[in-house]
Amino acid sequence: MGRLINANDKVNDHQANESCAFFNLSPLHSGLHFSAGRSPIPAKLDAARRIDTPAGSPMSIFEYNGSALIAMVGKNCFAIASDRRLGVQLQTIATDFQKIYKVHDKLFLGLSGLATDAQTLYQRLVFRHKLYQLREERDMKPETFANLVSSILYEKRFGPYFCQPVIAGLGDEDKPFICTMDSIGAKELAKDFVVAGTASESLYGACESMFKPDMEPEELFETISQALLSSVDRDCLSGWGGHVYVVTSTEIRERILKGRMD
Amino acid sequence: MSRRYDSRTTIFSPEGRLYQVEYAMEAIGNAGSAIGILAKDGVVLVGEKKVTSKLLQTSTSTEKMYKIDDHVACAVAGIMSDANILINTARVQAQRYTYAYQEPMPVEQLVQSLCDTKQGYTQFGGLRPFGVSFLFAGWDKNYGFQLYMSDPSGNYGGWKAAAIGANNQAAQSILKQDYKDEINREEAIQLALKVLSKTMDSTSLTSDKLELAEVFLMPSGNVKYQVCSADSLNKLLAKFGVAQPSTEA
Amino acid sequence: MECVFGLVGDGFAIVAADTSAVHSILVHKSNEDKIMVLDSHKLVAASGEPGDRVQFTEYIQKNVALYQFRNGIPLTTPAAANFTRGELATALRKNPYFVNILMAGYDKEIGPSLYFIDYIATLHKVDKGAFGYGSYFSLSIMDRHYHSGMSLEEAIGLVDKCIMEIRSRLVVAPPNFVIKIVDKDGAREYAWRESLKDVSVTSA
Repeated sequence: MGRLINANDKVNDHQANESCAFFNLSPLHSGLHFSAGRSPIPAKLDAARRIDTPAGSPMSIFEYNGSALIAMVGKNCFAIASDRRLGVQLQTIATDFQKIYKVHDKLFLGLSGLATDAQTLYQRLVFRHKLYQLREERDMKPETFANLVSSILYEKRFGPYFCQPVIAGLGDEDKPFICTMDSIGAKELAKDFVVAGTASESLYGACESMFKPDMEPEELFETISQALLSSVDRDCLSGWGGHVYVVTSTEIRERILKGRMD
Repeated sequence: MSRRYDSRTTIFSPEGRLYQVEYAMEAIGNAGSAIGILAKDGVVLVGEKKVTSKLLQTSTSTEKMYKIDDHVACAVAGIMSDANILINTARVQAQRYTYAYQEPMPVEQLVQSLCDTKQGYTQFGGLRPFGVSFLFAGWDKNYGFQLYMSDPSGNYGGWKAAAIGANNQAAQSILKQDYKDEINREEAIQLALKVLSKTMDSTSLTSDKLELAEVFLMPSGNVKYQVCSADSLNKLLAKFGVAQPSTEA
Repeated sequence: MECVFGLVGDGFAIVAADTSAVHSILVHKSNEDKIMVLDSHKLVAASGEPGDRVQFTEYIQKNVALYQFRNGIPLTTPAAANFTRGELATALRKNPYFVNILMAGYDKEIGPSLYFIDYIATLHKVDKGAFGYGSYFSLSIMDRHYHSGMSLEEAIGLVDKCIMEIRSRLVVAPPNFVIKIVDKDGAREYAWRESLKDVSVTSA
């Protein structure tokens, strides 16, 4: 079959190239690496999932659809924001794609990376969370939920979901909790902010310079929105507006941002 | 005599009966009763609590009522340990459906899937049937509010008003007499409490011997399952005049 | 090469697909219908590996029919789309199907809808969508001329614009297209756009 070609072979058919993204699961076939740095994608996995784009440059499967995600902590509140683009490599399919999901009133989950895996993962998490809710007659704590996400991801250690989740919630006494993890479930907790997606490099810079501790909800909204909008302008694969949630113990404020719609 | 045919669950007697299934139904006849009434704006479930020791510490808020999914709840009569297994199966089934179709499971399909499980135990050897009857109350977009009753054989049917557990025949006949179409939720609660006050063994109706739950639509259009608190249940009992004087003394 | 696209109008959804069965440099036939009528009110336009396309769309069609027989109620379009996505996603890590799908449907409560499902099982509800080489042209044309609440005449006009653009700008443009529609009255074929009728061997 045409689509089961090794990524090392030179192929001219564009569609065949696209499909290698998924089916070349041979381990470590090339030396293509991003430096690990703060990148939450394990270097080994990252290298194995690299494929050739039509332009000929190497691209990770994590960059197939494009995404930008941030979560930030404020004073007794948190904010979580994403871009809205759904792309297939460089082609934009939609500009109203949902990347942040509400788990319950005080817990949100953002999923960056491969959109199909994000959808599968989200549906599995809803399944597990719902059964927990019914059995325990209460909502899940953010820490517990993070452990659940982590273990579901690690279940697929040798054929992972190509997603990097961001979890943000209010825990006991409405203490904000944020965390991210790599595609196989290694948690990274933070007190200030976490970022994920194809725009993560520029998001780190923007957040590092804009973040202040203990912001009130309104200022937090302004900060996270500016960080998101300025970062996606430096990334080809994410953007087309933003989606922001600011969550306090009493309310959820949801806003759609218009950015550079090009 | 009957010992020849009831030692196994899966063998018919010469009269064409499955004794183990009938014994299971008998077991339910001794359990605390539950009543369900279908109203035009919702479904009401009322149950009689048998275990009322004040030393008891329960892990769940209700003894007889269980939420299956956001849009379905059930009331139980029978062996609770059996019921717990079935309730868990039902919850998993409902979530599996949602996982596949990203929509809530239609109520009848949920009831049917659970009854298929029950039926299996009347046919495949070596096991006893589940000693549980259920009342399912739910809402779905195709058929609106619904009430179903199921028994240990895996039979189920849709009802306007139904009773399971102790004295269910007496309760059923009062319901048959007093049920009116176009009944609303409040009238349904009144009717259910009236029936229980007549069929329950104990002389007094109090909030600690009763459980009341409702399934209805909120103004937003979302389905809501709500368990009545002890306080508001007491108020309802007083309002409908079914709380016996002995309880106030 | 393959061109499949669709859009949602006022009370209806339209999908169009090329009708060429191509392998390598050879055109086997130019009247291959790539849009399946899934049930009374659903259409599935599919592109991709021909074997997978036929096998997978029939598998979905039969399962949707089975659901209706078992339960007496039809699946809604979103439920059918999510079911399809689930099947594709499960297959993806076992033996994947190479099929891209546009699913159009009409439901009483929801109205017309169009779902984009690519071969790696990304699902998204769209107003307009496209697959294949034709997507580079049809998406641009639809971005320029599409607006919400289009009438049937406007929508057919837009579909024809897309077909014209593909025919004039795509090197490997297919000659013929089929257009199908779904609205409150059901799913059905609307028209063919043929620039080349199949010729018999003798006349060639």
